[in-house]
Amino acid sequence: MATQQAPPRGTVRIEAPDNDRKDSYWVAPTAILATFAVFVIYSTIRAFMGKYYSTYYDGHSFAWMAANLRGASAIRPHYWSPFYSPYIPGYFPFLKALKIGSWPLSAALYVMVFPLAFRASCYFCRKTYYRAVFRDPEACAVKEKFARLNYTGETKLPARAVNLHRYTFYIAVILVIFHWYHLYNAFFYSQYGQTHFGVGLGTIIFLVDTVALTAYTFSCHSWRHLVGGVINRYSRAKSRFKVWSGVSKLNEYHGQFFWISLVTVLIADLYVFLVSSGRITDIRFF
Amino acid sequence: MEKVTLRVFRGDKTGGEMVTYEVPKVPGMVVLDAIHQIQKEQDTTLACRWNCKAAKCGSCSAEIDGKPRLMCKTSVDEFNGQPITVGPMRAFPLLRDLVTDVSWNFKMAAKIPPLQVLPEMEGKPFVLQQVDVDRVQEYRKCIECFLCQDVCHVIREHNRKDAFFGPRQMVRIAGLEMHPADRINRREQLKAEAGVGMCNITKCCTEVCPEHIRITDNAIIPLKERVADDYYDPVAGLLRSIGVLPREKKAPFNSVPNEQTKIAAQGTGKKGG
Ligand code: SF4
Ligand code: SF4
Ligand code: FES
Repeated sequence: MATQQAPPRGTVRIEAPDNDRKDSYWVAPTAILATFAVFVIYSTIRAFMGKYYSTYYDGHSFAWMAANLRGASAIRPHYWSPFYSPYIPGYFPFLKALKIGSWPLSAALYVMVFPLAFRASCYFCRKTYYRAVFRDPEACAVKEKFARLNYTGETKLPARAVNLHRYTFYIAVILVIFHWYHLYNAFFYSQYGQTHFGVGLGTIIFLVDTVALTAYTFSCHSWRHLVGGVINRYSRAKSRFKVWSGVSKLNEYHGQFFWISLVTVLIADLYVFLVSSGRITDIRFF
Repeated sequence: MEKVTLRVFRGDKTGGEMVTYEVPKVPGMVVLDAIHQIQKEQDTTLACRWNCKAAKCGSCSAEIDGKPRLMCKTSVDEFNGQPITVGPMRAFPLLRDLVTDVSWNFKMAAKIPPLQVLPEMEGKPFVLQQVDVDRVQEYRKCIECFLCQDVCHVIREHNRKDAFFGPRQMVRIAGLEMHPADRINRREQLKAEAGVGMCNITKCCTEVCPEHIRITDNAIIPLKERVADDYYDPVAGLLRSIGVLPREKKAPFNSVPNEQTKIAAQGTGKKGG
């Protein structure tokens, strides 16, 4: 049977002269590249640092903390960095004995692979890095500088692995639960060995970060598919239709939630770092 | 009188150049009006395709200042008096001036079998509820302008017409795969010759669609998820094989009695000519 054959490369584009895009299409991919670079550099440094991820003991003893406690009268807010959550060596003490959890095998490394996998296989994030990093394409209707002859899209490994995005989503849900747990803790602080309810700047940062991460996670395309995208006849699945409609609405803002949560998680970690390393004192509201 | 300057591609497959024209500006003018003015008053040999001038027939697709757009929907006011560059769609073979041969799109469309009604619905009045058809109605807004096909880098830059039907056909397949009355398993075709895996969801099709169909989010990604269910999800596959998840209820794709729509032997990975 007849199969449509692609004409040889190079002949397909009509080289209509002088019809390139006139707008500044390169701004968006450049800005995205810069944002990713900042995030990757910052999170790599923090991941290997292996300290200053908590402003209180929470049952663990951290040598790096003693230097910054400044007496029993100091207010110690209960903040825990999202980069180091869940704190695996805390749940499996034998790992600590193996020196796992301190530099260079910091406690963040076990955890960060999961949000990394979730984001790397996220349908929105794929768009951003295919455009900004791989320039495939850099922007719409722009000639690709490194156009490969044998483009295979997402049909070949490793790109094909993104089809397993749903599994990274399941893990992300667990991480979201930990975020809420840390947010709950952030509403408390210790002073003179007593625990009190209170709100500091960190609490607000955690609140925004937790909401952003939750919105990002539950606007996921795979989640949308799972809750009801798979159904063809909604009149026979009314409750799933309702959930699917709600997730579909959230899903429209998935990209925005992606960026917001990327920035808030960085700010949350940075704030914990600054407070726990004694560089700033937590701003308390009450 | 205020003038609009246009630089219009003139030529055929042997070559061509941009020719500058000036036309008097009239209120509410769109690029297609300016092209018509040139045809009428300045050069009757200028070739362009159009029909409705209401963004509904999908004929007047072109590239305006490098972006795939409908000429009849692009106001000349947008360009603030700067010269407007108008060229043909660059992903399809050029016929002349602004007219390209878009027949490849129809050849791909012919490989997609139309609605195959479920046996229990056959021969009976078609009773469906609004909630059942709301979703597929979005896909039916398509006017077949092929701007999405033109902008898609898989077709435009990598020329993988051998392995990917293109976003417009993904919209078409989505409307059938998700149709409550269709009985054919369309994921088989999607995974194979239609090549949904070739799309890397960079959303240029969505950016240019004049009907504002959310092609990538609402058609391609849900189809990719359905293909993942069938071909990539190991747990779902296991649960299906031991009977926890229901097996496929739809008829195999090749049960469609039409030579034209049989899945080609070649898969998405192999390279065409
Ligand atoms: S999202 Fe996919 S189909 Fe749409 S233009 Fe990009 S690669 Fe092509
Ligand atoms: S999906 Fe949109 S851009 Fe593509 S052919 Fe249809 S109307 Fe045109
Ligand atoms: S003339 Fe019909 S869409 Fe432009």
